[in-house]
Amino acid sequence: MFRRERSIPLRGSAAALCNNLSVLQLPACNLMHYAVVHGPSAQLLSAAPEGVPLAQRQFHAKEGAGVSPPLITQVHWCVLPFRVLLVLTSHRGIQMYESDGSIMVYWHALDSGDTSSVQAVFARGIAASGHFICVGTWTGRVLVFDIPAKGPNIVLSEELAGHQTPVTDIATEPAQGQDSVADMVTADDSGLLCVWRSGSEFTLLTRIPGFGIPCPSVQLWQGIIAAGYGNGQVRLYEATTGTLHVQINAHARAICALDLAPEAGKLLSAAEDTFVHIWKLSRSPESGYIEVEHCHGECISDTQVCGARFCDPTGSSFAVTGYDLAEILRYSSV
Amino acid sequence: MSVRTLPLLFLNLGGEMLYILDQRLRAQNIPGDKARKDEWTEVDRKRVLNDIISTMFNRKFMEELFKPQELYSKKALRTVYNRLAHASIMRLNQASMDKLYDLMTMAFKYQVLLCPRPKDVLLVTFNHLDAIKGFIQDSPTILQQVDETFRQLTETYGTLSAGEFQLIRQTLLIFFQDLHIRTMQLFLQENIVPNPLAKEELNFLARLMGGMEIKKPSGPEPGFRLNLFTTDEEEEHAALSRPEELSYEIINIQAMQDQQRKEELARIMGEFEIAEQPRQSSSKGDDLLAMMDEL
Repeated sequence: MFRRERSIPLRGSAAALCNNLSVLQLPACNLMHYAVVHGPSAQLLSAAPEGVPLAQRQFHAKEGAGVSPPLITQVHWCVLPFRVLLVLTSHRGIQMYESDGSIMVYWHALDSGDTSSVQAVFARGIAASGHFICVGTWTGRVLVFDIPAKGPNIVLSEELAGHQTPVTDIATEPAQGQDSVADMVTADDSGLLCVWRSGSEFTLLTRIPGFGIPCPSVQLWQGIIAAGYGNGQVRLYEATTGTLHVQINAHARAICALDLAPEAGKLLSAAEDTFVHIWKLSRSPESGYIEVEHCHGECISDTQVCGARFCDPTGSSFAVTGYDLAEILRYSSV
Repeated sequence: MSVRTLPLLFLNLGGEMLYILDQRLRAQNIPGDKARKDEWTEVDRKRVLNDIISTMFNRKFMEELFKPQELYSKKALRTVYNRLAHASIMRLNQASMDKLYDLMTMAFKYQVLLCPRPKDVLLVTFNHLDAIKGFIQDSPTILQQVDETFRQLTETYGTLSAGEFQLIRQTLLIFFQDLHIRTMQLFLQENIVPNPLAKEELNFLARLMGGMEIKKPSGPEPGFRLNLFTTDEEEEHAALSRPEELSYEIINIQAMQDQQRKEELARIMGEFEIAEQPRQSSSKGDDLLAMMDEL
């Protein structure tokens, strides 16, 4: 059972984008940080555990060439071995800040190059993998940035080709230490998933074809890929082989966000049907097959949910954002 | 965001506008033989709808609209509909025009929100076009224009992927973000303080964008005024009590025949420093507005 906690007010309402909430918990100082995209701006705020807002900061997409103020597509914290960076993607490029948003350490402008004027140019999909930060683009290419332990000396080290349509989301998990173990998944608008192994050069291990429906959100946990699709389905695949193990008709409308609580193996799915569901992932000890159990469903009435995240690694609390809603809704288990 | 959103936005809002005007004109309908000179008849209603629809679906206009481009600013779009609504003998006061625009916008926002799949926005657009065809059944030339637009829509959007439609839907929702107008309760108790300089600025901008041949209204409007409210008093009250943050700041086009006003403008202009770029929003939709002037 979950109960509704005190909401955190936002300066601007949340935009109707997917994965529109990022949460950073710094246990050392017992603060929660939230980041939400409003449109041409994004808001970063920190709050005490009970939800009392403490500080907030607004960001705008860096201008670059173009007529109107550029829109931000996503904002996300990347936790690296020696530092945490806040990454912002927009229709102009990629901005990286120190975790509190105080200093911009890097700007990468997107090069529209040969793109016909009919296509929208943007970056979308952000994840940290070891000491790399990977960001997706509208062409399907994934940019890999090498991040030093400190300072602004960030370098674009690789461009991964695997997708033909705009990237939607990227998920990573710490490498398990063995060889040829998948530790990154990228998803795109056609529903295609690419599975990678990170390293000084990233290797494409396998591709999981889509079925014509976008995959806006993807997660990776212990070799299990959880993918949410535009038709409301959640599918669980074996990462190394790409085999489909479980298919859940989880939602009545498009899924907009997935999140994972790694300590408990809990998966959170949120969709435009106003529902948030929590599932428990596991593997059968005999067959090794992926199993899933439904734990909880929460109806966020009259809200077109656009972002949802667990607020702690055991999955005992979560936060939700909705289109046109100027607050972050919070729930915790009783 | 998506550079293919404008035609859908324009056609759907236009469709909503026509529904509302048709309804309102019918409500104020007077049988032809009994009507006085200044009252609406069935013939007048059809004429108004025909005029607006043929302006909306003008070939050059549509060609321009379907070019890949970013959405217009809210102000520019509002101005386009203001002109469209006045493409015929019908006249709307500010309050009625505001109410019309509020109803149009909220209705379409609601429809976009309710779409189960992003591709359904295209179906909503076809619905609007079907209804528009119903209004102009007796006019083969205009019917042809609308059919041509149907064809163009199918050609442009028929092959788009689900992912591209999702981007279009997101673009539309970002455009409508934070618009919460209670369309049933438009009476609010706040004073509006007029800013004369702002009005002059807007008039000046209008001149720069290309004057339109509108006869300067002198005294009572000749005949055909449409009221979106049930009585004139309500309309007046709505105009006075519209809160500042909901004002659309549409660009009022008026023929510059007033000598005093010309001098005033020249004085203001002299005080402007041309140091910065013209407002971005005035460049967007410029060509389209200029084109409308020639219609």
